[in-house]
Amino acid sequence: MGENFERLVGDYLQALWDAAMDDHIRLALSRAVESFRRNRAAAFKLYPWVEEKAERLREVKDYSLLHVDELAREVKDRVEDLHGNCIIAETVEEAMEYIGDQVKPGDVVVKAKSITSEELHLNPRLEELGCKVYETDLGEFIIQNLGSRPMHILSPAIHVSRERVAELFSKVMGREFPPDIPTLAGAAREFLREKFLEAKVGISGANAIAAETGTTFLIGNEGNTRLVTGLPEKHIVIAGLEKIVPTLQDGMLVVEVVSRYANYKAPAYVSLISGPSKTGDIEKQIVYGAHGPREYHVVLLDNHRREMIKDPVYRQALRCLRCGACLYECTIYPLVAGYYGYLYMGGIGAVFTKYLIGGMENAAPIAYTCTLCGRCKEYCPMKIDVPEMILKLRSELAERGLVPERVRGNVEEITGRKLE
Amino acid sequence: MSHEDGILLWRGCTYRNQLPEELKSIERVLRRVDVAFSTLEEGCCGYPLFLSGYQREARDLAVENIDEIGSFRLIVTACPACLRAFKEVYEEHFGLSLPPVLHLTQFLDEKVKEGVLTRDRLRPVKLKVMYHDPCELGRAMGVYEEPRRLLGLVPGLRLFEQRFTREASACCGGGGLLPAFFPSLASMAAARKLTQEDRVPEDLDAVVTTCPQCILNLRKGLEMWVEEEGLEDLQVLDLAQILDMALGG
Ligand code: SF4
Repeated sequence: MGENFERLVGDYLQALWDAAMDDHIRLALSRAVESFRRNRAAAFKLYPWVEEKAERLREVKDYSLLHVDELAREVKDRVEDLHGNCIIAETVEEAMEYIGDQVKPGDVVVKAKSITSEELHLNPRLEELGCKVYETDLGEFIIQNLGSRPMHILSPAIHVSRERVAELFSKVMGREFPPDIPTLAGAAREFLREKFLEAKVGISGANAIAAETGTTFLIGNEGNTRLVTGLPEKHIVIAGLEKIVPTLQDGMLVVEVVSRYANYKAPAYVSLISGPSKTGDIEKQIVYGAHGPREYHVVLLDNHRREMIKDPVYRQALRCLRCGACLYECTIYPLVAGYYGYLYMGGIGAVFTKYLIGGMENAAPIAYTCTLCGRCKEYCPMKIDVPEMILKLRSELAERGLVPERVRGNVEEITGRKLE
Repeated sequence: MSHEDGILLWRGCTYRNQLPEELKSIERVLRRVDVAFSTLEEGCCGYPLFLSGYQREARDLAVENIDEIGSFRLIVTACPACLRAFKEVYEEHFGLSLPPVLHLTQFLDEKVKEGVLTRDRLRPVKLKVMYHDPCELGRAMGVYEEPRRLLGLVPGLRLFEQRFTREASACCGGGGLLPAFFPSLASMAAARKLTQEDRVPEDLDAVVTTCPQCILNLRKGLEMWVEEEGLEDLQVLDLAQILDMALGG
């Protein structure tokens, strides 16, 4: 194990270094950080009570995590009552099997806003089943076509310049594009429009799910969330258990807080979806499948989340709203983008890596990259104490002999003790 | 030997091994304000063990250290990592008991309040400086005002206020053992902090801080990564060095 682990650490450090040396990344990120700060300041000025709301939401989230089993059952009951389907999937395999049953070879699948689906390695698995999968968020679309990985939870293509996007689109769509952002956005719109119409299945994430009505809350700006959840015959929601909150009001609170902290005054769209489309316009007989999807599936993913909830230190990570604020204020992230991470990024990403995807070995180098400065906590609406979690994680790593050699050697030198 | 009335200056291994000049200033400042203190041939406080995850080993070392330091009346240290090790790790985490521990700036601030360290004892130091909050001292231990009050006492000193201070201050990159894991990235973070986050002006003479890790990493950052004109002569100084100058060097 030692040698393989050190190789993994070495590859990670190399990727970090390449990113740190990349002028494009540095420039793109420094612009992004400043514009994020400006926009957030503007949003906070207009809605000064957002911090108070964040505090309230913190309580709601803590309550929800501690009552996750009953809330998940409530979601399932409500969704089924409204003629949808809901599964509480303990494992990635269970979730994937369920989703696999909903698609047929040859299906076009359109996706929006679902980082959780990456825990399932959904795209390659759907492709194995013969589906054609399209990411429809502009950033995700770029990443998918680059064959790269997301570099920010909200702006996955944060590190890609307009010139590179133009090159890429020319290749994908078979004609030339100037490096002009509105033109590029228009090209993606045109290209994806027909995919939306062809799609049999739409897959989305959820920003929140309200247990009392089984309602999925989905925030969007580009409008693709509307199309993904509205046009295909089937809509599948994939959400971690931590997305469940008790009431519709709580769901709105999530929407409000996450938007402001993610630097939007107001997102262009918020979709609330409870069940398949239906009509009762002929003889008051309700039939399912009107203009919208005929089927609505909610996949509630555990994938070690309940294990996290049992741990009072790690539990707080599941309050995370994925607003991205912590990344912009991080000491390391602006230097290297999402290479500081695995699927989930930044210090908090190390904890998600341990539990949700990647495991301890992949979590280790992320954990030892964090400077434990604690600035993220100051900016986090959920006041998640990343250093506290990282310290706990490091002690578990040390128990398993997963302290990178460079760190162990240095500490041995300082303390004059032989370690391990 | 009994130390029941004594004050221990816990110098800490980073100052001892890597910052001898700064350490001299620390000791001189204490003497100038008539503090009798002892020192030990101390080794590591155990904080790096704790940070890297070796909790058991950290505890063993803590127990050994307490043998040496437990009987002092007061422990003073200029190293925020040692401070935190004693107060948070030894006491809170391991449940060991210790004499009171103060950071050098907290201790000197008391001397100001007692009227021992007064403005009229200080000579002007004609520098424009920026105070950098060490994460371990500020966000972690809540010590923000003492260093600022001490700097505010020095005649002639002009303070530059950066964009992000106190709770919001930008980390220098030297924490969490990153300098061991990836030294170049750590120093790069220091450069970014100074130029992008703090936006230090060309006419700044020195960045002043009160943490040996920050000093080392900020210096490295300037040396390795900062090419901006006007910042070639920017110094990184220990707060004790400023006081030392003011007290007559
Ligand atoms: S940890 Fe906090 S700041 Fe970071 S994405 Fe989650 S909620 Fe936002």
